[in-house]
Amino acid sequence: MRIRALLREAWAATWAAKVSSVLIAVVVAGMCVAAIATVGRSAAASADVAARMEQAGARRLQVIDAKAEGFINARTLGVISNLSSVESADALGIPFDATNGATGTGGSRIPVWPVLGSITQIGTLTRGRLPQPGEALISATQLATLGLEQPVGFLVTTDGTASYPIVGAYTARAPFEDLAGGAIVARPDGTGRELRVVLNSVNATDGTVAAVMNTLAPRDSQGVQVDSPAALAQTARDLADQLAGYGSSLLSLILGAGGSLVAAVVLADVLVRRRDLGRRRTLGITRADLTAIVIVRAATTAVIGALLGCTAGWLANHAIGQDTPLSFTVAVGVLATIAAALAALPPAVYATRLDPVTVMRTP
Amino acid sequence: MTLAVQQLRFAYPRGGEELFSGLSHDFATGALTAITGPSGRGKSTLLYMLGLLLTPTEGHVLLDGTPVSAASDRVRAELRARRIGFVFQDSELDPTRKVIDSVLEPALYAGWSRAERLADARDLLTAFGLGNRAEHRPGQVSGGQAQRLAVCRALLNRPSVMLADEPTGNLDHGNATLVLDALVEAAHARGSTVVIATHDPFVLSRVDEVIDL
Ligand SMILES: Nc1ncnc2c1ncn2[C@@H]1O[C@H](COP(=O)(O)OP(=O)(O)OP(=O)(O)O)[C@@H](O)[C@H]1O
Ligand SMILES: [Mg+2]
Repeated sequence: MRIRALLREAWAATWAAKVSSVLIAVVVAGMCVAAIATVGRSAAASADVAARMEQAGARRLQVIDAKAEGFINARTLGVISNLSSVESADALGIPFDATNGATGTGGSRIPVWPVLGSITQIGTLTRGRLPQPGEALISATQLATLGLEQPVGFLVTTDGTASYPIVGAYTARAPFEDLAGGAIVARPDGTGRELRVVLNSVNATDGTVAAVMNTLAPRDSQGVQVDSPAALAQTARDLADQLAGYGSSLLSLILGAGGSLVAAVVLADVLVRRRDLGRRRTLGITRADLTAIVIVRAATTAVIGALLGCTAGWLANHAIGQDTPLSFTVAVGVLATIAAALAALPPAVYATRLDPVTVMRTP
Repeated sequence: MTLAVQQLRFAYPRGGEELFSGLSHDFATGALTAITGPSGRGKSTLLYMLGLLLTPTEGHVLLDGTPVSAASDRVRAELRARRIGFVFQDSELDPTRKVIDSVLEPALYAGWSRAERLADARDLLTAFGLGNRAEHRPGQVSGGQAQRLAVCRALLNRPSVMLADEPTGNLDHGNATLVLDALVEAAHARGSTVVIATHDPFVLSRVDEVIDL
């Protein structure tokens, strides 16, 4: 048969058997709604966990040189910054207190962090210019504390032994939010107490921790505190695996149950329309074409059911504030249609095995 | 010879006596042959065998001299579509379709598109006085008209063999005459080999040859 003739016959048969066509569409729509309402929600939850994991705060790795061995320095920082799994790395020295040099050592104190690496990773410059070594930037929120209207003048340590010209103001960036409460001083050649690394992805945690520790090579592991998202990443992975496992077994269950129903409806239809099938066989349709008509018929109604079901399921989730990923919604519709077409195959093959002579002899 | 049987024997798989006891016959091309005999002798069975829907236990059905009864299901289906026309006792038109679609059905199975044969189908209906019935459903035509529509369906692919099982069994004399006229025309004017299973004396009086089983 020509493809167009075959499709036309299948479509005519779809219309002719409205009840079973509607039943197939309803079953497939039900499969889609059930899958999206259950598995879709856990898919949305997984996507949510994954998105949260990838926020900068969760991708942060911190190493503290508690025994002041000096392994956090310009050299190690340079190596670590260049690791492919590292988005940014910066190091802070031991903070000290300072006051506005103009009001003397008696004024309000703010903490000052020496910064080894790039200032731009720590904060966004809001006024003035980036500091040269030995120059300071003040957090925009601390200008008033020091009685300043403009980031000018200089900072002086509380013991009065050192001073730092103020050249600008900044707002702190993640993961350096704690630096909003003070000032920073560029000191590229110093040693750091604290190394803060932002990873490209939580998934790279384990390898990056190993590479960072290799670079730092501390003599005494007792003096090193490592704070990494490894445990968090593992929890997220476990959670995602659990959700995925639960989701795929639930999805198979839904597809299996819906497929069985479709198979039952198609089989009932084949039995009711025996005489139609017997006539077609007698008039010379091949088994392959007859199988195709039965399957195309089921698939056509399944597509309609899937469109309705996916739309309804997506809207239902949307109504309770959960947006099912579109790719998942489409995949459910495609899977449900394939399941229905596959389910129609055994009854279709059965239809071609009916003996036309027996069928046509039966009045 | 278009259609022939050789040393035909057949027994239904589940019990039943052997039928045809080695029947051999050449069916005259362009003529009507009736198969008659008491009920249960296998008239319908012989037609199904000629129609390649049943395979003989022994012997062959030959089409153009080639044994075809043991060919693959696909080959037999294609031969049915292209070479053989069927007329059943009840017209067996698809009750859900317009009669024009029923008449076109074998053409689709033979690989034509609907558009390619639509004009032919309409011509046939007109030739059989059914031109104004094309868009009706089978439920909207009389039994005699339905049976003539079934003859049109059987004729559409210009089959070399036409098989009819009690085609007049459900018809009154007037309609039986019209249907028989159609079959006679198929044989004499169109050159088909027509085989009719019947025990209707009226049919027997109009055929060219009779096989008494
Ligand atoms: N599927 C079957 N299994 C077993 N025996 C069958 C089967 N179909 C028909 N028969 C038997 O085969 C024999 C021939 O049947 P068939 O229908 O061909 O006879 P017939 O000559 O057409 O009869 P009638 O004049 O009543 O139509 C009968 O005895 C019938 O009972
Ligand atoms: Mg019979």
